[in-house]
Amino acid sequence: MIKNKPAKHKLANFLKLRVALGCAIGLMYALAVALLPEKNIEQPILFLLSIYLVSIAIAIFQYSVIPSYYILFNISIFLPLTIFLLSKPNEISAITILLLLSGIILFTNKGLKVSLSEINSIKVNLKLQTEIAEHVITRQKLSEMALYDNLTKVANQNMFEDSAKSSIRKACDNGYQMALLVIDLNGFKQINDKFGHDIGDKVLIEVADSIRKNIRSSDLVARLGGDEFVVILEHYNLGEIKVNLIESIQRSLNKDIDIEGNIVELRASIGTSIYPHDGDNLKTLLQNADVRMYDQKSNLKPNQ
Amino acid sequence: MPLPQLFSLAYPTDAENQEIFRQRAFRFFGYSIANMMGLIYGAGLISLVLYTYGAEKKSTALLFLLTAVIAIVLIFFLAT
Repeated sequence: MIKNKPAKHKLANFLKLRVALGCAIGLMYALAVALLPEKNIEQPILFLLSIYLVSIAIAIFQYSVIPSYYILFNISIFLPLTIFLLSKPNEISAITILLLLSGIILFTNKGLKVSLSEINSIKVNLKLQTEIAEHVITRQKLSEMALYDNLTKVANQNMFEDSAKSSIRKACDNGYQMALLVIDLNGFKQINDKFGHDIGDKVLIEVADSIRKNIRSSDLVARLGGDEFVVILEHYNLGEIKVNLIESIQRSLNKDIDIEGNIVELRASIGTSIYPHDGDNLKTLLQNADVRMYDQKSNLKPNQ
Repeated sequence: MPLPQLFSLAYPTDAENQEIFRQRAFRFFGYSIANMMGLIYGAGLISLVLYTYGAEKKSTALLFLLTAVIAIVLIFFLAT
C-alpha cells in the first residue's frame, strides 16, 4: 500500500537504494553461511540453501516487477557462496552449486515472466484509461452540442424547452411567478450586410454575454436561432425584479458596441410574458411574449 | 519491452515509458509489505538453522536483527 507517492525524480533513487539494500541482505546471508564452523559445513548448507531459496526467494521474487532487484539479490548470494564452495572441492559442494544455480535460473525465469506480464497489464491499463478519458471527453462534447448553442455557448432550444417546462412546474408547485423574455435584435440583417457575417457572429456572442451578465445564476438564457434569444426568470417578482432585471437587460442591449474597431448600433425588442397571468404553459407564454416583442418592433422607426 | 529497458533502474526520458516506470515502481512498492514479511520469516528460519548447526548465538541474532531492521525500513520509510 502506497501512503505517500514520491516525486517522479525520486522514484529511480528509491529503486536503486532498495536494490542496494536487497543485495546487502543477500551478501549477509552468504557471509553467515561461509562463517559456519568447518566441521558442520556440508550438511547444513544443503538444508539451509533449500529453505533459503524456497522461503525467501519465492516471497521476494515471485511478485517483483523490477527484474534487477531479484537478479542482483540472487547474484549477491550466488557469487560469494560459489567461491566459498569452490575453495572446498568435494561432491556435496558440486551438488550445492548445481542446486544454487538451478534455483537462480528457475526464479529468474519465473520473475521475468511475472515482470513482463505485469508490464503488459500496466500497458493495457494505460490504454484503457486513455480510451475512457477520450470517451468521457466525447460524451461531454456531445452533451454540450445537444444542449448548448455552438456559437454563443448559451443554451439551445432543447435545453430551453426542458428548463422552461421544469420552471413552470416549479412555479406552479410553489405558487410563485415566472417570467419569459423573448429578445430579438433590431436590424440584425443590416449589421450582417454592412459588416459581414463574422462581425454579425461576434455581435451575437456579445449580446449573449450581455444578457448572461445581467441575469441571476438561477435564470437561463437561450438562443432559439438567428438573432432571437429567450430568457427564463425564475422567482419573478413584479415589484423588485422587473425593474432591476428586465431594464438592465434592455439597457445593455440598446447601446453602441465596438467590435474590432466597427461601431455597431445595437438595438433590441423585448417581449415579456408572466406565468400564471399570461398563460399556464410554455406555448402560450412564448406566443404572448412574441406578440409583445413584435408590437414593440412595429412601433420602431422603419430604419431600426 | 526491450531487455535493457526491463532491467534499467534509471528514469526513462519519453512520456509513455515514464508512466510505465512509475506504475511498475508503485506496484513494486505496493508488494513491499508482503515481500519484506517473507524476508523476515526466511531470516528467522535461517537463523534457527545456522544456530542449530553451530553458529555463534550473537552473530545469528545480529544477522536476524539486521535483516529485520532493513526490511522494516523498506516497509515504513522508503516509498511505502
